[in-house]
Amino acid sequence: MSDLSTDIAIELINVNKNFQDFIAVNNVNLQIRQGEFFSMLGPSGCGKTTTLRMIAGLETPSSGKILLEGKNVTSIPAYRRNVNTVFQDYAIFPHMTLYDNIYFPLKMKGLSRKDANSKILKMLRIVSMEGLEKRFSSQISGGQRQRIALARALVNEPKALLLDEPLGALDFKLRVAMQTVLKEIQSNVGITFVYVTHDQTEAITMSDRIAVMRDGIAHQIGSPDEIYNKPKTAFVASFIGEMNFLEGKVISVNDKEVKVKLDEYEVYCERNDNKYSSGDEVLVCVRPEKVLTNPIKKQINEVKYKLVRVVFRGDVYEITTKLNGNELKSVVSAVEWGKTHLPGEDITMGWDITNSIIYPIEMKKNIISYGE
Amino acid sequence: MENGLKFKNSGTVIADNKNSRSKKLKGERKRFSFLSIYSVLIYMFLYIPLFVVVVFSFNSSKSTVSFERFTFSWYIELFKDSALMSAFLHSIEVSLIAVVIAIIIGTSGAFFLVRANFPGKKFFMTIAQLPYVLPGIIVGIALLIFFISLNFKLNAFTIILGHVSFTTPVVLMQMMSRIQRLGKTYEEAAQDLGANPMKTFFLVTLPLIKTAIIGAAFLAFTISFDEIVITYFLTGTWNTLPVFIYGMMRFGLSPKVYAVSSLVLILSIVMVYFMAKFTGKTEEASLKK
Repeated sequence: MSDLSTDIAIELINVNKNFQDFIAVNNVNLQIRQGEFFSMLGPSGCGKTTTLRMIAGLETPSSGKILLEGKNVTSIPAYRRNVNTVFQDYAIFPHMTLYDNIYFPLKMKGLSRKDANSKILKMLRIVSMEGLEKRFSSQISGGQRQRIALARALVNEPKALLLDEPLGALDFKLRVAMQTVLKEIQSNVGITFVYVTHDQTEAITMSDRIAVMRDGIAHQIGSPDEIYNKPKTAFVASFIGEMNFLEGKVISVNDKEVKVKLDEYEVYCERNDNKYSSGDEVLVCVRPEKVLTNPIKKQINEVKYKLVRVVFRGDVYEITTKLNGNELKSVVSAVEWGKTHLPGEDITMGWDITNSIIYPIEMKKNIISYGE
Repeated sequence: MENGLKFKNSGTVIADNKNSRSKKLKGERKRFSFLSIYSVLIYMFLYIPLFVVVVFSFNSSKSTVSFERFTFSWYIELFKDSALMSAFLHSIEVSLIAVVIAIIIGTSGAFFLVRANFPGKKFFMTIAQLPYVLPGIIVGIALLIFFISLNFKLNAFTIILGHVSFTTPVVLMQMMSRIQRLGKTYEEAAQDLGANPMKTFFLVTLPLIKTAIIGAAFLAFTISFDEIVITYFLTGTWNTLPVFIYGMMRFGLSPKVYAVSSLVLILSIVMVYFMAKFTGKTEEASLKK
């Protein structure tokens, strides 16, 4: 469709939600496209679940508007919204068989058991749970419960499926397997998925677009590639993947790049939306896997740092180097790393300008570090 | 009479402990011989009086010391005693009606107290327990003064209201813990799947708290059925069974009193059994691995 507005399945306009004094969601604006796998990612308490519950209609925004396919649904209760939710603990009704669980939403629509039967069987087939429909939720495993919850939420062909950390309760291997299952089902049914998770890998691998949230604020909305390679804030940079944060001072700025003094070295970063002028203290960021140790070709950004430690991770080596207060990590493959260097030696670390990100120093407090 | 219920309950608790102990400590029995003697003594203390009552209800003589010969005559006489029979029916009537009202008030109150937040909630929950916790004599006098000042005649209605006052807190407590455990997810899921509040309640909430309601009803019925203190204050000429038995005792202990006590005892045991069966069971208990 050429008209852009019809391609938007869900739209949130200036949505706020307060619980007494606590601001759970702070002026969030989102546009979720038709058929998209959209994730809301953030640490616990960031407002992602509250946002999802407002889309579902289980929570009313304190202010702002929620549109479903262009229609304002802000004050429409959950049972009259054409979106369905897969809850974190699945909420399979324990007093009904799995079959009756899937029949429930159809029954609410007024369908007789007979008319609903073929739809229920089709859903059971899609989630590969045929033959188990006579059982109760107490008689199946966590992964199977998840499939039933999915079938029950999809059987009414909702405009969007909302998933609240649906894989959180599963163990690691099952989680990875279910990621594939979810992705397949989504492409089969072609329904918009809104997915809430705190697991960045899950969000990166499954989503078309991601909203990274913290303290009720949507820090960045973009494709996994944008989020990973062009994080807009230091929080996003630190929350997703690993990131080196080096402190330096701006030397000069032109319309494309910022030249930064990093200890005795000069490095270049691509300019972004933030304003910089010479003398400003800044953070220079680069992902460890984008840092080359002893690069063969001369790099635009090159520093000589002291080797602190080498950690063997199996497939790769993690190299940590230091100069003054700055710590620079690099991840290199076992082939590249010749084990020829000893701690205390100076080694050259280099990276390209396109991988070099700059933030104002004030963002330093937003960096999330994991138990370091 | 509340005491009667309490020791029946504690009796089952001791029995449970003893069972699990005897399983765990096979071969270590000697060390615990003192404990077993102690338990046996406690059991005797608790149950011999009851046993004596039951045994002497079959005694042909009126003596409470010697057993002459076995007879059912006291039981037959019970059923011929129309005043006693009507007191028994009154008791059933009072308890049934009071329990139904208590279930309705207590369950809806429990939803309110679990789900709503208002200033002074803790305090309100405490005072909601008072009619059950306070000594019956105080509740009885208070209700009596209340009814008299409203110019109510003491009859079945006042007794039922009295019973509602102390069975409601019992239902309230039982239902609150169930509703707390239930959480809101199932109801939210139902609404999310298109059920309006009415359908959500009847198709999801009610089936999930059904057994707790039945359990609470049995418990409330047991407490109501043998309540005497409060009832005594609110009784006009319209008697319940415990009050009637109390009246019988004024003319001395007789095997007829034993016989009726034995029947009440059996009824209470049955009720407590069903109460335990339903309150112990929850709908998702089987879900937890």
